[in-house]
Amino acid sequence: MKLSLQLLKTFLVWMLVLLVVILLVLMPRTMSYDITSEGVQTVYEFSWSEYGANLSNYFTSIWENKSLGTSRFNITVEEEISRYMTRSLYIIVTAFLISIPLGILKGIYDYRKTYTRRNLLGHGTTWFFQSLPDFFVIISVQWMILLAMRQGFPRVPIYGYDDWYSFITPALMVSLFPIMYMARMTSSALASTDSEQYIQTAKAKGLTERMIVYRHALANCWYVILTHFSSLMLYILSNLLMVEYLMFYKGAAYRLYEALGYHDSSLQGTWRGGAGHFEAELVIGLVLMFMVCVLVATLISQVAKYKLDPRWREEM
Amino acid sequence: MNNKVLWIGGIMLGLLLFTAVFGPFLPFIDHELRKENFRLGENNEINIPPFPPSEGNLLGTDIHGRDLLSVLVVGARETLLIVISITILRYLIAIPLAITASKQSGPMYWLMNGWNQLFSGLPTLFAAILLVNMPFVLAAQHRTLWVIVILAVLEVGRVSYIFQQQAYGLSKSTFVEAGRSIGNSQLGIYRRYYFPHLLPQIIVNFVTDLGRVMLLIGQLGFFSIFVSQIWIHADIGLVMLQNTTNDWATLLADSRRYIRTDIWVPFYPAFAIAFSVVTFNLFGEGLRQYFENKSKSRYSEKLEKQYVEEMKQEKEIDATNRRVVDF
Repeated sequence: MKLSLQLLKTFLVWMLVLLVVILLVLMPRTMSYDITSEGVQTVYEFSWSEYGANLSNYFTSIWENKSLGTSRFNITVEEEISRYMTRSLYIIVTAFLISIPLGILKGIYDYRKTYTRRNLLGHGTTWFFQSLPDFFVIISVQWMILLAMRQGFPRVPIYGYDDWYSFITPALMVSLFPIMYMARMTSSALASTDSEQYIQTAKAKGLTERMIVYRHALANCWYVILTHFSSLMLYILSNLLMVEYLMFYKGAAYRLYEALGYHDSSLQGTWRGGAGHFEAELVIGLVLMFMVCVLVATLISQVAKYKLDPRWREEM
Repeated sequence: MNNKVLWIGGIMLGLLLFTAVFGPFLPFIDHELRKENFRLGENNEINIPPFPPSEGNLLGTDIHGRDLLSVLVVGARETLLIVISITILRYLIAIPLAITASKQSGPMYWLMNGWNQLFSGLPTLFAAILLVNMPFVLAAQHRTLWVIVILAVLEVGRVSYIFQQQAYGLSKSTFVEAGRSIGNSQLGIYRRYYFPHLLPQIIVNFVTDLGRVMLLIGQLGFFSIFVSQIWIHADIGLVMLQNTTNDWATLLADSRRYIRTDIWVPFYPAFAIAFSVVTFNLFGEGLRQYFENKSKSRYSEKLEKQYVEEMKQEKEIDATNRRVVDF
């Protein structure tokens, strides 16, 4: 298989997923409520004609207006996207660029300390931070920063989204889990080369451990490491939603959550019913943006695999 | 005792299960979860909940003035039941799918692969929010059931893919071919050749998946999306969804506004979820090491026997050679 064919296949699958998302989002959402003495009965009747109308309206409006639609504030989806997505892109790109090198370095460290006493510092920390739920880490870090500031530490601006440096704290928090994920994948890939003959030969020749890890083992692991780029992006995006929500960072993930209509939830865990708050066109637009991020990560990994791993090129 | 991870994980799991089963009957737990609308302060000023941690409320109270420790302990059972039922359902679908798709071709394989690809294009959390928010789910009669099915089905593709890859590897191995050649039926092959090999993996993955599901439920909880909700009629003429259980995730709903002021409100439920996620992961890791050591020791015993045999033979050969030389 040629590289271009592989890329085309990835793109087609991606288009299919996008189509499924569009079909799901545009499903008619009008519900009626029967309020009786026993409680509320919700009635939802699916109608094909309404569904068809939704779909055709959506696509014709894209075709005629050359626009993805409008949000509930009567702003075009493009404007909303450019406002919110730029804020998020800072975080996404930073997190992606940080977590790959740091994760691989941490993985190499973990691998080299496997049979030493520092194993706990290597594998142990990786495992621990990967196990902790993201929201727990975010809440704990915020709490610690607030406590530290109360004790007289210099004030760190952790909240906000309009200054040029606002994205740094969220980006660091978003990348914590992906770094650990990358580290785990790297160290397990390195460990799987342990028993290979070319590693044994290199050891027998008396090469330094550093040389063996960086020149021999790692060269063979790129394929496995690069495969995980798209999962890495998925983890970054799902952390992004959590971080933006819990740190009041008004980015695209947060806007997507608002567009889904759940943000009206109140203290009792209640939610005002009705379809009025659901911004279908914006949901599609933002999901499209996030899917583009995943697609870019996948394409990068496929091209990089092609460039870095000679075996793979031959196989194709 | 060699396997410390398994022990620590097992003890933590025991603690969790004990809390879930006997927790509500402990003396310091208010199993009725009484609400307190206000408390009078020292100067007779009125304080409204959440109240901070104190002697009476070790972990403070939630926004309704209920003792947070009691809420967490009483909610443990429901939380674990939800998590376990989602995971069991996921594996009940994924494992048969993986085994029937193990030939790496045919409609079952396409189904599994498509499933995996479809849900790997979007983060699970996004897909979960999107699907649970679908109108037919919101209006469904048995909404709880729907949500459990959706959360289970979301990751069927991923789980199934892991085991399909292993089953495919097995189908190429010599001992499975041997089994086929001595006339085992297809079912017999699955039962006697695939299953014993896959079972340890299934158990380990199941336990770590409990952690994943718990994490997902917690994340959804932050976004006020719960497993069980009913529609209620609010006074002001609005129709609302109201949560009906005490599971931990619901305590996190809309709790982010307390992060800066009353941190214990989101912190302790999040801690409870973090504790159980770590427990499941530790226990899973311990089990993995246990199964690994078991198969390793079996293998090394075999190797040792082989080695002893070979050494015996070599010595015999040596002895005969020497005798030849002696002549």
